[in-house]
Amino acid sequence: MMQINRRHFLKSTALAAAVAAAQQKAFGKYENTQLDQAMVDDGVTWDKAPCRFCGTGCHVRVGVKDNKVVAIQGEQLAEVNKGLLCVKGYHVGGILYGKDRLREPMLRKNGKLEKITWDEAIEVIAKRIYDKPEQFAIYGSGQWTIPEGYVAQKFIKGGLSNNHIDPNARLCMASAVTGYVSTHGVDEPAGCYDDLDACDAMIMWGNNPAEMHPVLFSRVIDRRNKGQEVMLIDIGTRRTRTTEYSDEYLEFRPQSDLAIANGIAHLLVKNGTYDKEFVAKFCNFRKDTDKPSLFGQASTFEEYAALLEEYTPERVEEISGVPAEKIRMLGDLFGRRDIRITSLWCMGVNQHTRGTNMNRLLHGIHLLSGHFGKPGDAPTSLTGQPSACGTAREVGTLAHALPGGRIVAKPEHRADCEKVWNLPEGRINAKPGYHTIKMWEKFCTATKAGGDINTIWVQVTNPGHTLPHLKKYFTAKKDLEDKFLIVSEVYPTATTELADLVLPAAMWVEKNGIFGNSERRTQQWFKMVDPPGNARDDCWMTIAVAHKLYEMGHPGMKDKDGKFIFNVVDDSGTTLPIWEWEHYYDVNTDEQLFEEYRLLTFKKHKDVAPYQELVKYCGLRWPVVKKEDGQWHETPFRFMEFSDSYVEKGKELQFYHSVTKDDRALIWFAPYEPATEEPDEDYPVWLCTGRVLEHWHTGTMTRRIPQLRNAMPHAYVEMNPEDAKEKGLTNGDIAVIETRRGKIELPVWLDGRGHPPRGSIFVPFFDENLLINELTLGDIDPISKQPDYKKCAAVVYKKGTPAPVMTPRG
Amino acid sequence: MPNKSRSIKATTIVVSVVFTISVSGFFMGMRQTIRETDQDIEFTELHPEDTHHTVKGAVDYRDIAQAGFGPNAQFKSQLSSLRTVPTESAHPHPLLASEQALRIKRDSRRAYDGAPPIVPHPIAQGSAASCLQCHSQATVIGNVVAPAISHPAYTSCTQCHVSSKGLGSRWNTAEFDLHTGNRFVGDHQKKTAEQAYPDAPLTIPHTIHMRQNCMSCHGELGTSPIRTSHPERQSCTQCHVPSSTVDQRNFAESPFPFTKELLPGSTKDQTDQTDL
Repeated sequence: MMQINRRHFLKSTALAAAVAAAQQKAFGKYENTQLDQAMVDDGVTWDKAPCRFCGTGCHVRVGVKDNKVVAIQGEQLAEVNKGLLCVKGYHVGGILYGKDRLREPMLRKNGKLEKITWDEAIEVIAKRIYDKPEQFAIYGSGQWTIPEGYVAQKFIKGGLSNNHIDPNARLCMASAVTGYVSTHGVDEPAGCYDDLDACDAMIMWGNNPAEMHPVLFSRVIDRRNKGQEVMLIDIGTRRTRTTEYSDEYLEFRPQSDLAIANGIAHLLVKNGTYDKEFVAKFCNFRKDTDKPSLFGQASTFEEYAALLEEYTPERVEEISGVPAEKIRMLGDLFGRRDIRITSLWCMGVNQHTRGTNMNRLLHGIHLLSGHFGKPGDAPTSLTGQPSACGTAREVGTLAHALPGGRIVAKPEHRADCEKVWNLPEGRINAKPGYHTIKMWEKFCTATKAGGDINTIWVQVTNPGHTLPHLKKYFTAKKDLEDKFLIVSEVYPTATTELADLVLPAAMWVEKNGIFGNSERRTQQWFKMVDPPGNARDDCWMTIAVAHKLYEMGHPGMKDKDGKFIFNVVDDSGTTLPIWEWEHYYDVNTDEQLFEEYRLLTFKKHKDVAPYQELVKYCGLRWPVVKKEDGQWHETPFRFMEFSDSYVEKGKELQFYHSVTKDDRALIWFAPYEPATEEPDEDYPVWLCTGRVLEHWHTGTMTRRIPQLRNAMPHAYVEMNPEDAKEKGLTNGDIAVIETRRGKIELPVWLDGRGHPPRGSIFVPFFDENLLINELTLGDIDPISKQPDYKKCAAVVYKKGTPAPVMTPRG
Repeated sequence: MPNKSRSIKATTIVVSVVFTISVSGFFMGMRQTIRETDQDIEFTELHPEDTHHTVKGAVDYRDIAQAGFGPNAQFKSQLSSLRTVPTESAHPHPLLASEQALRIKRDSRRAYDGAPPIVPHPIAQGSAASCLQCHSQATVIGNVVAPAISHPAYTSCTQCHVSSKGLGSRWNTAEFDLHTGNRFVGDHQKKTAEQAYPDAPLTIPHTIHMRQNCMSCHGELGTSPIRTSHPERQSCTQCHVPSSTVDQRNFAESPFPFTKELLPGSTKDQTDQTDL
């Protein structure tokens, strides 16, 4: 039934949207004959693009007039958002026009940033890399377009034989990746947003979608307006806007989400309400090895049940504070076969010192209870960045990964890439590079003390604001000589503060691009306006540096036949000098790079659509396959026979990349373990950090938009009113917050948007003038290497009063 | 037989006495006791600095019936009394304010034409439950009109509508630079409606996405200077159609074939040019 609707929609869309003209050049238009006629109104032309902000991936229509963006509309043809946006999306046009937009390359001379030319800048970078290529690293981003990530990946891994490339997505999605890989054998969700339309119950595990994924949340709560019943359960550490719409609110002690998940599994086993048939047919059991590892070791149902014995509802209540009857309620809910349950999670589960385990447990309870494999039954991890999936995860811009779900450690994977990239055998290094925290740690350590990263090129992200424990992982760089920070940015940020070389970048619709959102939907857009001043595409920057190295004679910049590794051709096959900016848009470089990348996506069945197909639609969910009717079809649900054409006939549900190579998924056991830093006598309060609706990430874009800035001008600290009263604090008072790593002063906000329980505080991280990451913890999950921003120990007191006395240490 | 009639009579008397006592006792009990009426409850004087939206002091129990319900002078107990046109002391009737002034006010709340308007007053940050109290229908509150929402209500209002009176004014802490210097200039449609001939129904010169409730702007308490001359007719789009040059919505749902098939000269073209 689903298939027919899909085909019908695609057909009518294809009718409505004309194929881009045959003479497709550097940047085209989303051509639609009727839209063409509409374009003459007031001189405003409209074209499609995905929103620049979160991982939901809403599609917008951008109104352009006189080479400027003047209006935004929610794209009504888009499946994701159906014409609706959130306040950030409605104002996304303004991100290009902040008054302090970077326009010229700048080099730091005697402590000051001075303007230089692009040629000089490229030369500086190339020289630096040529001298010590193994000490060079790229810190990339889930906001990279797919081609941008792809060239960086090919340049450093395929060109320099250097694996020190890691994205900021390490700080948000790494645990989701390890969770999926250890369960399904391959990354990314099996379901899609259609699950939200079909579920009867939605459980939110430590996230606040009313503010963070508002359009997806609306998609669920607006079903109630149509008379549908959806039960919303908010499992959280503080009350938020999401709680207002939820039927149940289960407040848990930070870190004890592990116990709650085990409590549900325990009840399913004890009551015998787990789906015996489903488990027998589609699952194997697993537990971790003594030293945590991605694939652990085999286990059995009996062992699994035995390990779960201690997680009785009463024991879970003891650990988490959630009443035993509520645990039973969850156990009963999962035990039911007549309803569909979607679990939704994001940073609360991923930014966790046991994030991989928590992800595994959530997949586990869905598999154990058979709430998997049908629309609406879905454990769904949401991403926060527009292309964390599309670029960081799928192109594999991680220190251990290669495109298409491959890893550097496997010889056949390296061989695949060397083949497509036409490189000599052995070019790609088999040793994984440094992951984010390690990379920055090495960069912030003196060379003679073993700090063997001396140059980092940061593109499209703001580590000076988002790394945890900033002093250790970022600002320490200041006092070190011979450490060179290159930053491709659009605005002055906390990162450019310490940059040695700043490169002005083109942004969003100032360049061609492709993003991939949380539901595996790859979305394309064309350049619509010109970037300001001398700002240029990040993709071009990487290619220009690569070509400079090629000119300097670096062997890595040549492929097997001696050709430059980024060989972009015109229609007749002649190489175009795209490393020269004047020629970069002679053809659609994005298209050629994407088609090359596409060849690498088939092995793990992550087939992306051909570029020209993406042009026609508001995104397509991979794997995109050509069917008997000659049309390309997307796959809403993976591993499920009714939707995924890669599933063999009659298999119903097939995990074709299964870890145990038998088409089965893995149900993991993982114990509850306390957090690495829990409140104690000196630091008695839990500090949690997070986001707000109005600002995206570090606010470099949103805080420059007046409507968003006015609605949320600065950071604050939320605390429980009774705690505040004890400390003599009230609304607007300045509180001092201290952890073992740093100190900050913030205004107090009581009973505002969030309501923390006693003994815990919450601070949003968007404000560059109030960097809460100076206080956060750098401890990471042992498998995913992702840091925990949600829990550390802090002390709060009123500014002007003496700091609480610390217990003396002997 | 004489015994029975006497006993019936006695029973009747007893019952009626009991009844009378209980009923009168009930009503007497409702009155205040002597002791209570003796005490005079002191009302604290309201401070002169309070705004005119003061909360009246609680009235004596026996005066409740006459006191009138509500916390302040503006509060109306009857729904009908809410629906009056703003008084003379209020802002002049919207039709009297210049179109220019209204347009400026309207555009100042929107980043571009079609953007969700900013909320010009502080809001409850934790929940959107109270928005529709004033905005589900146009409501006059003191000197201002809270307009009716122009689109069917979604559940999470604050997803799109944020307040310009955010935290800064709430706490009155330091002067925050709320002017970002952003150079974005939103498209504000200046299109006028088209009319096929005098007295023809005007076409709609703006997008109708999120503007399903025409009366929100064009009704009696609407925010537009353009008021409908015929509010009694409810099916607006029966006569007033959107213009395809501004509203790109319709092409998506239309199963219409490509226009080129209908161009003169094509085989599908049935028009006999000589008839025109």
